[in-house]
This record gives sequence, structure tokens and C-alpha cells, in this order.
Amino acid sequence: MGMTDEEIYVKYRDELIRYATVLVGPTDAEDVLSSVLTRIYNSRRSLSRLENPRPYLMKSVLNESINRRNARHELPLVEVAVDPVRSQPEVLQAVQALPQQQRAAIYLSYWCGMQSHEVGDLMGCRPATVRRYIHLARHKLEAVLNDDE
Amino acid sequence: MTNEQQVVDAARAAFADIIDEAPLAPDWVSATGQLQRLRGVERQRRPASVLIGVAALVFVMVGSLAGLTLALRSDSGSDSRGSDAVAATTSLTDEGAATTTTVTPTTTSAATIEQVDAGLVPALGPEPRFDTSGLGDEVISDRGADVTEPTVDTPEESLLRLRSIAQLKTLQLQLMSDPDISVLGEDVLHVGRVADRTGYVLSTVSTRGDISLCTVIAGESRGANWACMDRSDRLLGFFTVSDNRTDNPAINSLDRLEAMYLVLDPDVSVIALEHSTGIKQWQRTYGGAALFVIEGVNSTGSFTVTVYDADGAVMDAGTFESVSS
Repeated sequence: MGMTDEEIYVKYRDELIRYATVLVGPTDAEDVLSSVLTRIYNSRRSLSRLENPRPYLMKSVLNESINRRNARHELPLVEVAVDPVRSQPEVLQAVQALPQQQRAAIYLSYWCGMQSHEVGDLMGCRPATVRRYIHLARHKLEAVLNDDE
Repeated sequence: MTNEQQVVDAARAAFADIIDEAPLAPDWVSATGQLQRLRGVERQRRPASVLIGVAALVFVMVGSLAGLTLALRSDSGSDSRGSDAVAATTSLTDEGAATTTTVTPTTTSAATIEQVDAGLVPALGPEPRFDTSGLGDEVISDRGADVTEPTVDTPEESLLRLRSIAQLKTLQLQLMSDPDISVLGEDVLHVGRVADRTGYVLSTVSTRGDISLCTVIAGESRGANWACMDRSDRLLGFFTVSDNRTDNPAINSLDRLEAMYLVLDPDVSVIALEHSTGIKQWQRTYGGAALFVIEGVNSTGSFTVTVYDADGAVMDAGTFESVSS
């Protein structure tokens, strides 16, 4: 007996909410995930019929995050009032100001420890594109760190 | 100078702070139930004329290409949001007609493309659960020759592919204005279909991310339309009535209405078209589009389009009157 859609979601929901928080901030993360759920629900497509639902869910979260930004014509800043505990405020701000694709790429790469092909699977793009995102993001963060020195 | 490991460490620290603020993930049942209720409220707030008034264009090209008059009339007029949401420019050349439609995003996102094991493919709209017998004849979406290409690298390559399809089909897509590919993101996906029976190319180009969805319709006639829009567009459409200068006598008709409705709202199930001559047809959306080709009608007539969800609720309606000169 396979897993139900709800069981599949429960399996990945912590990972998904963290990803959404990185992409849109804690205020909107729940809405993003709820929108993804309701879209799946309304479309009558079944997660259980997918060979690997994780990439589908992760891509859905990324797409929904980007769509929300576009719909609001917002700059890709995360509305996060994070009180830095470990990080430098300038770096935190720079990470939050990265375009969502770049932010997703370095999150999945730096934080989750994935290789570029794995990141590409979850973002729906080629590894070369992932590497470019990471390259661009790294340069921005380097600039912040160098300014700080 | 900062080395790469320092960047990685600094970014990790930032992510640790961000993730510390992550809320609890929503519960499956409450999330879907809550949003279903919200959707119901949203629909009650959304007057039918708003969306269709926003979204439709009728182009009539009859006989001489020297003149074109566009008349657009919504059932109850369009409000400011509607008129702001679509900006269209039309241009005619010595050889043919080209129309470019640019659409400003309106509301929430949609999904007319779905993920399957093989990649992304156009999705059928929800199956209607209401009696469609009063809507006239069902037009089955012609998708006998789907083209799904999940790995087209760039917008330029995708457009090249699009053009090559058109050339293979001996269509005159070169008369079409170039879309503004700068709005397309990276990692462009091409999904399309070639409707052999009618000789149309109806093609969708979409990124998997932020932007966008382009659709091209081209017939043997000398005209083509394209639209490029953000996936956050909820509902929009355009119609085309071609000129009658086909080079293929087999399908040549002087009285032929060709209309396409493009809709990105995943809740849309059925689009019905009723011509002033009494001809009625309906179609389930496929890949976010419905395509009607009605033979034997005068292109100066009017037609009404009604958009239904799966339960038969009218999401949109509008009457469009075209006048040629």
C-alpha cells in the first residue's frame, strides 16, 4: 500500500516550510505552502502517483514563491525581521536581497549540501544554471564580506 | 580577501538565522479546507464582466489588409482594472498581419502545465461536472501531435524551435512580430502542439519559474498572434479572426471564424462560444487554451464567450463584436 498524498506531504513538510521561509520569509512561508497544497488538491493530481514527489513539491514551493513576488511586483527582498544570532547583519541582509533563484541555489547547495545536479533537479533547471546562480550569489556575498573587512 | 569557504560559512550562518524563524508547516486538511473557503469568497467578489472585459481582443482581417477596425464590447463594460490590464498593439504590413498583445499581470498564479514523469506537459482543464448539452457541440481539443521538449536551453533556442515547427508546417510565422524574449527567464521549456487537421500551430513556451507563458497561434492564413505573460495572470484571452488569404485551397474559406481563448486559471473547465448566427460550441481547456474554428460564418458577426468552472459556475462572460472595413 503506497502513501497517501497527505502522508507524503507530512514526510516533507518541515523541509518545505524551511525552504519557503528562506525564499519568502517566515510571514509568508505558510501561505506559500498552503497555496501549493491547495493547488495540488484542486488539480486532482496525486503526489502518490509521482515516482519522486520531493522535486515536484520543492519546485512548486519555488514557483509559488516567485509567482507571489511577481504578482505583487515586489523586489525580491524577504520580509524577515530576523534578529541575527549567528550571522553578520550585512550578510543576512545580502542573502535576503538575492534573487530567489540565487537564494534557492545557495541554500540547497551551502545549507543542504547538495551537488549542483541535485539542486537542478529541485529547481527545475540545468546544473550549469545552478552553478551560475551560485557563482553570482557568491560574488555578491564576497563583496559584502570584503567591504566588512 | 575572502575565500570561498568563508562565504559558505557566512551564508550558512545567515540561513541558520532565517530558518530559526520558520513557522510550523500548515496542516494538510486545514490548509486545503481554508483555501477552498477563501477561493469561494474570492469568486463571489469577482464580477464576471471584470475578467472578460479585461481579457479579450477581437481582430478582424477581411479582404484587403489595408484596413482593420477593432471593436471590443464587454457585456457590461469594463472597469478601469480591466482596461488597464491589456495593452495591445496591432500593425499591418504589405504582406500580412501581425498582432502583438502584451498583458499585464492581474491576480494570482495558475497552473495549466503539469508535472509528469516524462517532464512538463500541458494539462487538461478540470472535467466538467455539469450538464453541457446546452452549450452546443463539443469541440475536442486537437492534440494528436503534441510536442513536448523539456530541455530547451534558452529563449532564443525555444523561439528557433518554434519557428522551425512553423516552417515545417509551411506556415508563415515569419510575419509574426518577434516576442520580447527579454521577459523570458532562463531554463525555457517548450511545450506545444501541432494541430495537423487545421494546420495550426498552437505552441506554449514557458519557463518553470517566474516568467512566463507564450502562446502562438498561426494558421495558413497570413496572420499570427502571440502573447507573453506572467504566470500570475489569472484569466485572459484573445481571439483572432484571420484574413482569408490561405494558400491551401483545401481549407480556404471566405467565411471562417478562428477564435482562440487563452486562459491560465486552473479552475477553468469549459469555454463556450456562441456566434450571432446561432452556432454554439464548447471546449474543455487544454494547456490553458481553447481553440475554435467555425466554418461558414461571416466574420462581421458577434460572438459571446462564457467561461465555466467544473461545477458550471460562470467565471466570466463577454460579447465581442467585430467590424471590418
